[in-house]
Amino acid sequence: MVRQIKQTPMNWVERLYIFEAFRGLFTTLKHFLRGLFRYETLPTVPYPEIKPEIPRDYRAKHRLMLRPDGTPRCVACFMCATACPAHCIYIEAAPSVDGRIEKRAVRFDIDHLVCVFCGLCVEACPVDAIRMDTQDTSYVHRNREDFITPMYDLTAWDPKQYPQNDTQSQVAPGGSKNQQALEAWGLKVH
Amino acid sequence: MLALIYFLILGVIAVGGALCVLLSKHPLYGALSLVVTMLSLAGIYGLLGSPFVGVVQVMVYAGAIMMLLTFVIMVLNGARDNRTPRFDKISLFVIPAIILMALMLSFLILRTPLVFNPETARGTVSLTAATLFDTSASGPGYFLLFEAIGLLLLSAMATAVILAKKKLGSPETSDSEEVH
Amino acid sequence: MMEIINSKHWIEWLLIVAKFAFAFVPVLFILLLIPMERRGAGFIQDRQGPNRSYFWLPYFGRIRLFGWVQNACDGLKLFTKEIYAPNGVNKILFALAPAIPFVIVLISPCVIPWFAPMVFTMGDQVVRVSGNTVDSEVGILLLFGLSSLSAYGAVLAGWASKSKYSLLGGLRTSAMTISYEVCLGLSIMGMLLMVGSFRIDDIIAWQEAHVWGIVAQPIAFFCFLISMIAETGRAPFDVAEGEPELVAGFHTEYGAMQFGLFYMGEYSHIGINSILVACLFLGGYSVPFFSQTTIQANMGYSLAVLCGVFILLILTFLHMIYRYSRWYKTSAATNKTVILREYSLYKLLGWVAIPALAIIGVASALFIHPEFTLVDGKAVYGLGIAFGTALIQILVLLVKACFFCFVWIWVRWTLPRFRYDHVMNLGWKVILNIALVNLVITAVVAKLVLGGN
Repeated sequence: MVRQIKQTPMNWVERLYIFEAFRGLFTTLKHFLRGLFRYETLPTVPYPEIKPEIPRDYRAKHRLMLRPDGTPRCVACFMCATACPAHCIYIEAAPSVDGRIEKRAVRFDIDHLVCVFCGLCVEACPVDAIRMDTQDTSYVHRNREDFITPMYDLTAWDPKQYPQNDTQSQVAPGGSKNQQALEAWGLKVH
Repeated sequence: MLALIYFLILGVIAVGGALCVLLSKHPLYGALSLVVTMLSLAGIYGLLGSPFVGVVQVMVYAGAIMMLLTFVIMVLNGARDNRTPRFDKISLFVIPAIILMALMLSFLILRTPLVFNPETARGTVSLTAATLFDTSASGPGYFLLFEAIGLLLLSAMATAVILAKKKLGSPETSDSEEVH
Repeated sequence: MMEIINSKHWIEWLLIVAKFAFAFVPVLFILLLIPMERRGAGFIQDRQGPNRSYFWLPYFGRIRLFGWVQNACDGLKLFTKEIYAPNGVNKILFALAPAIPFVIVLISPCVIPWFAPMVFTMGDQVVRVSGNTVDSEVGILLLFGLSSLSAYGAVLAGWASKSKYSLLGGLRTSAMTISYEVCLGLSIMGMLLMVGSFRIDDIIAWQEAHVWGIVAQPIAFFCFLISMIAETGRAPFDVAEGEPELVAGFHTEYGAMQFGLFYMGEYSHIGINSILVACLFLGGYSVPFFSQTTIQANMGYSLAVLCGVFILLILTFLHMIYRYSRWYKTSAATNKTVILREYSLYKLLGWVAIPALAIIGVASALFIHPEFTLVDGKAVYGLGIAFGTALIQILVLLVKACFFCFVWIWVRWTLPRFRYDHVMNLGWKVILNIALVNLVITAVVAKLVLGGN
């Protein structure tokens, strides 16, 4: 939607500049006094000590969702790797051991130096296997290779750190709904 | 005694600065030496019991006029100025003129009785004001001169503005300058 | 030689020598101005500003002093960097240029009166010591002259750097200095006309007797303040170092302490100009609503009030500390314990200082009974009372000057930089004319109302 903002010409008081300058001075004075006397209300926080609250839907580091028995939900369909504009996802598929599912991923690497955090992989996934809601925005490594995150790291998340109404997270091993989901899913076919 | 020592120091600096103005190759160095001369002259005025004149010397000459001169030199920033010889044909006329001036001045100074008493105030603010503007005490002479100089400076300023305006208004002159 | 020494009382000589220390007051203003600028800028832009630098104390841990340690860090960094000159610069002028503003700033405070002329009895002698280092009758002109000289630093730096940006910065500095020097002189003339003297002492005495200059000459005050801001080369008039056009203006090629000298020169210039504005328009060292004789006659109570003011300030400070502590305790900060430990030091100092000040205040109110001798019909007090008066007056002057320091920073972080031709237009077409009209009106009014010749 294009909204047209009508620019009114300045009246003579505004064109004199001096009164507008005083208005500006008043504004900055308000901000200065707020910083001086209400220091804790400043919108900025001292970062490393106080971490900002990152919303759940912020596109942060990826994680792979888990089935109740602890295997990744990924069915190695390559949708995410195809959708990825940066080509940062590397998947190796193998036949699944579970008869109900055709394929599984034996390798699932995401190169976080290449990733552009666009979230298209999350959109593309047909089985809700990949998500970006870890709230983990800053991760540091010493070598470039360490930024290539393997499946082991992508699945190493704790269901307790996710909200209770997030069913998909809670059915994973360690989650509050794991037991009942495991019964519904059935034991491993071995 | 103390005043004499100060005078000697300031005098040497003033004369040295003036010589540097004559001998320096680059006009900016000349201007800077002139600033030094002005400042030491201001010191000498202060020593003579006229701080007002000294301070005006600092403010007007060292502060404003020399700043303007520096500005002009920097705008015209000619690197070739470094290569102008120290003495050329024009010096033939300049040097005799300087010598003549020095002779005249020394003649005058030798004829003047030198009574130097730094204690007496000569150029304080009130004294200067009374001399210039109090027509009942010193007659209208200085006052008239003051006004005449004011008028002269005003007319000079107006002329400068008119000249500058003419140059800005007509593009032909600026074109011809570029061709040249 | 002995005659000169014997011509004055020894205490007078001592005070004359001690007054040279006032030359460093504008330089000390840097200590105030840098944190004020950095954190003030932060607050104005809703940030926190630099507050991380700290020093370490045995029990209390990291002491940050709310960002004041940043001064030491800045200085240390500038001192330890390599002094570097690019190829082809004019070595002598390049090295000389940064020193000029700084030297001028050290010279110029000599004419500023820090306190009213001290008159006190010492034994059976009456000693009179002026409040400024040089008691000159052209004080304010000397200040203007010196401050116009300080622009040579920028101009020479611009020329000596052999860089186009520097040269343009230097050119702009020189042009702006000339323009605003005129406005500066003319806008103050109305004030001087009413006072009838160039001596800053007389100007302050006139304001003490009548009204503050800001009330008597409000238009001149604004013209003067704007010209002063322009003359220090600060935003919104910092076209000489405008970074969108010229990289950093005249100090593009400077680094390390050479740049530091420019920096210190600029900030001390702000300090000295703030003091000057306070002297000319806010009554300088004169305490509002109380004349000097009242203060001297009730020295004990005056000191008690001073202590009370300090106690109030410390209480405000403690209130803020307690509020921050409470906030930190409930927040999720990982350095909670460190901060609270640091704040415990401030709390301790505050709670030690308040009773100490209270005792001093009460004691001075109870036990100081000034005794005077009449000299020429005026009451003249002893040395202690004179020192007490001078202390109060210096504090009052510094408080007024600090307010103007804040104005400098406040204006800088509010108004955007003017374009160069706008600066020139403002100087020559607006402020100069307003100042001229103001001068004419003042002259007419002074002739008609106040009389005089």
